[in-house]
Amino acid sequence: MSKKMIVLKSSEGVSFVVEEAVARQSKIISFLVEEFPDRELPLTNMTSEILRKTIEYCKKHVVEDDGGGDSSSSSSGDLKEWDVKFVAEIDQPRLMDLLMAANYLDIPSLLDVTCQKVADTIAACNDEKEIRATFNIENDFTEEEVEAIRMENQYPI
Amino acid sequence: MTIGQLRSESFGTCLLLLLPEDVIAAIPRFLSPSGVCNLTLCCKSLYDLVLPLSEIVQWRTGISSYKTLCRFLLEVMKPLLGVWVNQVPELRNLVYVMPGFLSVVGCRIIPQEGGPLGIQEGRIMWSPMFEIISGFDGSAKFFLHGRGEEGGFLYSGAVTSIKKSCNVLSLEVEPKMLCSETKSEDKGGVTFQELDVGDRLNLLEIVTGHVGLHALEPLCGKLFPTLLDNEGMSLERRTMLLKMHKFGRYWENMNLEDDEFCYNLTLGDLNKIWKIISHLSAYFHVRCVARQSFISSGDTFVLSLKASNSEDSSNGRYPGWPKIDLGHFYLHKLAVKNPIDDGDQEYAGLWEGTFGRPPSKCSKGETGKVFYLLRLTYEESRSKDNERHLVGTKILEGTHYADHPNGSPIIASGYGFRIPGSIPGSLYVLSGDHLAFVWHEKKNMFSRCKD
Repeated sequence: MSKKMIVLKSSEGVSFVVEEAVARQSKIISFLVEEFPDRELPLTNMTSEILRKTIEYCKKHVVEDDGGGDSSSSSSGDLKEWDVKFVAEIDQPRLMDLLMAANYLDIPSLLDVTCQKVADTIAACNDEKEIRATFNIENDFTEEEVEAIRMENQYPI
Repeated sequence: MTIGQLRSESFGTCLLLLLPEDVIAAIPRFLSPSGVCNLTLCCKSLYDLVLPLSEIVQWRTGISSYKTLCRFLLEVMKPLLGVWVNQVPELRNLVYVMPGFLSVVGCRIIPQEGGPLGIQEGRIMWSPMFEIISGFDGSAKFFLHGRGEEGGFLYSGAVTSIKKSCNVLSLEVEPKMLCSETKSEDKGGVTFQELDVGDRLNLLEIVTGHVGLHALEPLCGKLFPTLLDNEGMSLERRTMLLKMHKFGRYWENMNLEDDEFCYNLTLGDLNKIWKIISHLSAYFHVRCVARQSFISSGDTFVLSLKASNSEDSSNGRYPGWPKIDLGHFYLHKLAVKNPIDDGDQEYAGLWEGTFGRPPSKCSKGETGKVFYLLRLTYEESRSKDNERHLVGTKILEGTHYADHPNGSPIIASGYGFRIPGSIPGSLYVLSGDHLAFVWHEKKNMFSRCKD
């Protein structure tokens, strides 16, 4: 049985033909497919590059239903490994773009994966100075203000 | 801004601060409290943005220290979180206990049909049953939620004890001496649970009737902070509850710092209760001794929540379901294991389910399909082959009265938990959070979605 395909169009007007099951991992697209069946779906605020990357993630995470029973395309352990590699390979600007795409298209698992990567980067920093350097943040606190916040938020040992 | 142009549009600027607020809001969930603290110290914008989003930092504002907060989380919240049941959850006695705002909230899950949006998108209907809020000093204040003809009611009480490994939750009336902390049990008197069922009901009715306070919004709602609420709203509600707990019906004109101004007034009311109970005890001579012993062990009576541990709580006939004594008003904790991804128990946990496929939207004019809550567990087979079985146990059926008892395996011969074994069928994994089971003989399909 042939799989149903849908067309997603990026901001540059590039069309991506995707299996419906793949695209439906986005709750927004899933809603649009039901409301506007058999129509091309324009995603005018997403570039082709980031849409391609998002589709790559969704393709990996779709569970194929070939009618032959429980045929998950990958085991969950493999998927986790793949996710880690997927976000490790991309640079900071693209990671932020992907985070926004996951939020915009409402793909909870991709949002989790990208947020986790940002959080891991923050957690790997020893203090706020390292975080500032990593994310290019300009410090507008005085030393006294930083100390006052530290005192307020002291944790029990 | 078009998504995908950060690299070209924002050279040299902080990309993190270019993200929309709701995206930044998602990041602190993955950070430890110290990570959140470091992030807020980076700059004023992140301080203003992240600090209100971090639950633990929000909670700190309503409690004296992090140490006190940790004590509340470990001693009150952690033991109580989870699923609690009694014999007839279809009559609204399946209680899900979860964090609120500096509080632990127990909500009854209401038996229901799948909504028009289907079980994946639909919201579960629930109503609050009890709430334990933390005082500024980390002390636990208990409120029972209820509804009368005039609307919502709150009944204040005490949290008597919470054992770390508790599996039984009981609502009791506890006698207290006004001038000492001695409890009835310490004096060797009869405990509440040793009283006759009728007496226990009477006592609960009298005490709740006395302490019940009419509760309007936001007191009877707004139990959980949402992103749309501001922090002030949650703190305001909590302050109102703390006042209600301390000053009873006079709470509206009091400040939390005030001393126990109305304590003596409530003492008079409690004395009236004492007389009523005494009258009852004199009237029924048969149960008089136990009742008299209980009453004489205190001169005030408060509503009390007790979380204790019962070693004899497993049910021999229905494995995995607690042993339930119908003569007591207990809730029993249901062990729900988390999925283990790296092992081979990836589907363990709490699931929603319904018959039919797809389990999504109902067509126009069609009534909703019955909504089930299931617990999936793994069990080793007792046979020689040592196979592992995935067992689905029904814990809630969305009908007025369930035909088959809760606690029965839903993948079993005719549901009959008296008949061991299972109906042959196939389990399909449609996605990581979507399973379907097809009975071979009947071709019935049961679809489930991860809760």
